[in-house]
Amino acid sequence: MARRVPLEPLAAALVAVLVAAPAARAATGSGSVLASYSFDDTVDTGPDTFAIWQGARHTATGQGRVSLSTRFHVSGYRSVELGDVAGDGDFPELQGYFPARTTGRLFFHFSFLTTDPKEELNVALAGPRFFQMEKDGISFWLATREGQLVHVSDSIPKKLFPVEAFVWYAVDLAYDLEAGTYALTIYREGQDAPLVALRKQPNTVRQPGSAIDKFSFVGSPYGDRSNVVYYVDDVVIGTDASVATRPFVAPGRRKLFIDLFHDYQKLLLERPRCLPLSGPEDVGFTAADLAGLAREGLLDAVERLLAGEKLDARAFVRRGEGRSRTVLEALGDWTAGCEALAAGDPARALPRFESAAAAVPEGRIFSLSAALALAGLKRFAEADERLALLSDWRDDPRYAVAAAFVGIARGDLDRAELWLRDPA
Amino acid sequence: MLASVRGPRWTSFPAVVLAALTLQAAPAPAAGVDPAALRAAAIAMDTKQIQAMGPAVMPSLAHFYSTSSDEDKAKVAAVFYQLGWKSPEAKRALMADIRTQDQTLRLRVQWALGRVSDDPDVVDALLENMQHDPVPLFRDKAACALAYDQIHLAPAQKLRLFEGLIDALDSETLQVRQIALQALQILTGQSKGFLPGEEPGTRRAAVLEWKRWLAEYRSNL
Repeated sequence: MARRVPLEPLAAALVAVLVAAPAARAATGSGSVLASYSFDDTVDTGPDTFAIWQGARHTATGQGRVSLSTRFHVSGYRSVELGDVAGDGDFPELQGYFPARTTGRLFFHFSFLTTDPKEELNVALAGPRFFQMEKDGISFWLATREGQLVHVSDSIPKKLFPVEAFVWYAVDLAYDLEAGTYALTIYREGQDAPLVALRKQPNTVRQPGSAIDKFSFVGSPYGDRSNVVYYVDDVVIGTDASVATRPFVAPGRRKLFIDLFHDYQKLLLERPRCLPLSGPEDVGFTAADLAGLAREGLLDAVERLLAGEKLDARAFVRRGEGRSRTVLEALGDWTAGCEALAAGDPARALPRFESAAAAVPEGRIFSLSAALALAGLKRFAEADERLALLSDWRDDPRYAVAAAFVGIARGDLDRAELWLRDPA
Repeated sequence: MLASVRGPRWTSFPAVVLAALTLQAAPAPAAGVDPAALRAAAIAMDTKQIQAMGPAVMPSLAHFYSTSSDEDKAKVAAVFYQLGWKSPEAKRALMADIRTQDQTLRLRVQWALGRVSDDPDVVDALLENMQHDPVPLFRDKAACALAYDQIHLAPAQKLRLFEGLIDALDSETLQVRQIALQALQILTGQSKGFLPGEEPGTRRAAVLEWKRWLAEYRSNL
């Protein structure tokens, strides 16, 4: 079992644990890798490698969560989702341990994506004194404050850049333990040049020689004022730059295609039904749309809709404005269509999908669902037309499994495979 | 001061207003909350039960505080501390007792204030107590509250706190210099070489270091 957090005198009970649950792959003491988590494999973790607390204070009132999620990811197909709840007297935490380091260099890599930059999150490296502002306490501290990413260096929160919602950022830290300084590089997805490239920054409390043996991802541990929902992927700690430097190309697209293909195929074995969403772009939401939804106070509801919760989308449609209203209406149509398809009624589902696809053509899941409904109605030529219009989505396993389903329904698997090949 | 750390800490970053609260009518209780149950929970310091009632109970709790004996006030102040919910009503009620001579109540009021408010006059009142209260214990615990319990302050609001603590390094009272430094160390992990017992000339260089740091802090806001 992972250790308790000894700085918590109130911690009478270790509540949620998930240690040794199928949550992450951890490797400790292997070569120059001290700890590594991709959150994809179902391999048990070793002792004292990481711990997850839904409520790190153990107040029993915490409503936050730490869980695996397929909604957003950089590598593989899963990340860890942390959700905090303001005013619940607690905060969620993902904490990892590794052998204490006092000399040499330490390399720390991770990626994060937040759904609302205005909600506070905190990431830290600390030592045996835990997260105290002292030597052997906190050494590296990255956080969001009022929409800005900041790092606390020399006990001063220093602004880095305004954080965008639903964008992955890859953080690379190269830490010199003896000097107590670090280099910090941060990349934004889709951009080659780093957003941040700082060198020789004093550590959090300007204390050379401060030991480090743990990392931590939390919501708001102080003021209990955060409703943050954010995602963390590809956490690597190492003593060699090469192990902690990961390629950062097209996050969210580098899926384990065959695994996802099998998962989706199982969904379609019994009857045609909607395939799951992997992100807001599937229904046509752009980053600007999401920012607008956040301003209208609709983001949480939309997140729940996208996560597959059965909410009445029409209730939000009335509140939405402009384009977000259009997309929400389309999402409502799609949800209704999915219910009809799952109930074995493709005839009732099809017009809802077509309506959604016509309203928001860039919401490709709508057209894909229409293709499945058409196949269910044995209108294969029209299903093929739909698939042809989605050909730029052929790298997505949902497209592949839908194409295969149409082919199988028609008894023509070769034709299904044809859609998956690159154009000549 | 260090020995009086209270409560969980992920890290340690964490003018008297005598409003006529006692003359005000009791606020309407939060929907679904039985005032008698709230009162009983407060006296029992059953924070979990009150937490389950939600932040809407704060005005009622503040009214209850203002109309209670010092003994019960101290219990409600402890509840405010544990809840950590911002509340202008709670802040007004607590500020009325920021100079009380009842020891238990004074300490709990000083500790709770920063956990119910981020108003600048809370920081000012605690700085005043830390530097000028005639009772050393009250000064010490005011510094403790400044170091640990200003949990709602944004970086810009902390500037006022740091300014006050750094100014206090020049206090003529040794204990004030000691506790101001301790608070700064807890908040920043640094001392900048300041030794409270040294001669003024020796201390001056370290104070200048602190002022340089403060200027950099300000420039990052």
